[in-house]
Amino acid sequence: MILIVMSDLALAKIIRKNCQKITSELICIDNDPFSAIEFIDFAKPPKLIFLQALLIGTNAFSFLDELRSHAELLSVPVILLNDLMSLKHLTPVELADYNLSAILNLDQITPDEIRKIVRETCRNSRKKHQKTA
Amino acid sequence: MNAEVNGILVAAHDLRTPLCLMRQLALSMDFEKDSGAELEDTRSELVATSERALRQVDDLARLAELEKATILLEPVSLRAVCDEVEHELTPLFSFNHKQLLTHYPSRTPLVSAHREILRTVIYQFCLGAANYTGENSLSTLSILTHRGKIRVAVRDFGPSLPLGIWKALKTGWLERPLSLSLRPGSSGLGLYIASRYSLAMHAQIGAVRHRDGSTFYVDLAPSLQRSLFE
Repeated sequence: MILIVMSDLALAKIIRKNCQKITSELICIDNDPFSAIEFIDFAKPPKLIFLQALLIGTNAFSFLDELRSHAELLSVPVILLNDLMSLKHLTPVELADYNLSAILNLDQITPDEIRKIVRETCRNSRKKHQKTA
Repeated sequence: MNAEVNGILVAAHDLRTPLCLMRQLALSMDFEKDSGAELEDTRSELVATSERALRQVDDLARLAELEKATILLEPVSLRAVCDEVEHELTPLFSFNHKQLLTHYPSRTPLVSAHREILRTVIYQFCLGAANYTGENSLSTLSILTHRGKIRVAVRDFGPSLPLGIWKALKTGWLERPLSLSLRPGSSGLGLYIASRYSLAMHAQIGAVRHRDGSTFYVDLAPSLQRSLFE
């Protein structure tokens, strides 16, 4: 499953559409970060999370703090989709703590980049499962 | 100078979001693989997004005119204005899997207002509800009487209004756009436009904080002109 947590539903649907072209994974959209966390708690950990920086009622980093507090969710790849939120207040060390796979700017990301990331992530996830098996 | 720069930044932020969306919509169009219906949906969404952005620009430009000119007030059918706004924004609510319900009294009095300016104020309130609330949420557009005034209120179920904004709105108008930090992507420009427009009409806007959302309202003077249908 690929989870898209974004406050902007229209953009989330575009990202989902791009992902659907290259993967048969279930793609879920949630614009409420609190219900997204609850969903992750009850479902299997997603293979990839697209996370918008500015969320309804909170921001991506509060979401990530909650996500990374669970041992089994530490390794879930997260792509941060940054809008106008400034990341300058975070040092590289602090950003590294969040274990982000990539930080992409929403106004520059292209469908090809989205598909490339999804392809690579799904490939890495398959390799990891083969190793553990 | 700071206020001027701040105003420019706020306007830039609010116009950036629809442009970002339009770019992604255009990039997502695959003329080889998408069906005709999908392309048509994307095209409609592009047009709707650009029209909303153009409307925002027009509202901003009109702010400058309001400073210079005297606004003529006339009896306006509040019900008709609310119906127009509801009709215009229903597709946006549906697209975002949300709903806008209306509560009107059986007889809605005329109000003393400027029709276009009033429409903009109500539009901005409803647009906030469409954009900044959770999926499947229900917002309501109501007309009611409050202390001798006619109140149009939009109740939404999103993040509660920050206390600082609520205090600023208690004066009835905003001196400058204030960022609504819990409502992502919002520069507060819509609320600022609504407050300046209301001031021009001698109306007063305000807000009510709830645990599960906010109510934005504008209080208007009833028109003393008798309705033809009385």
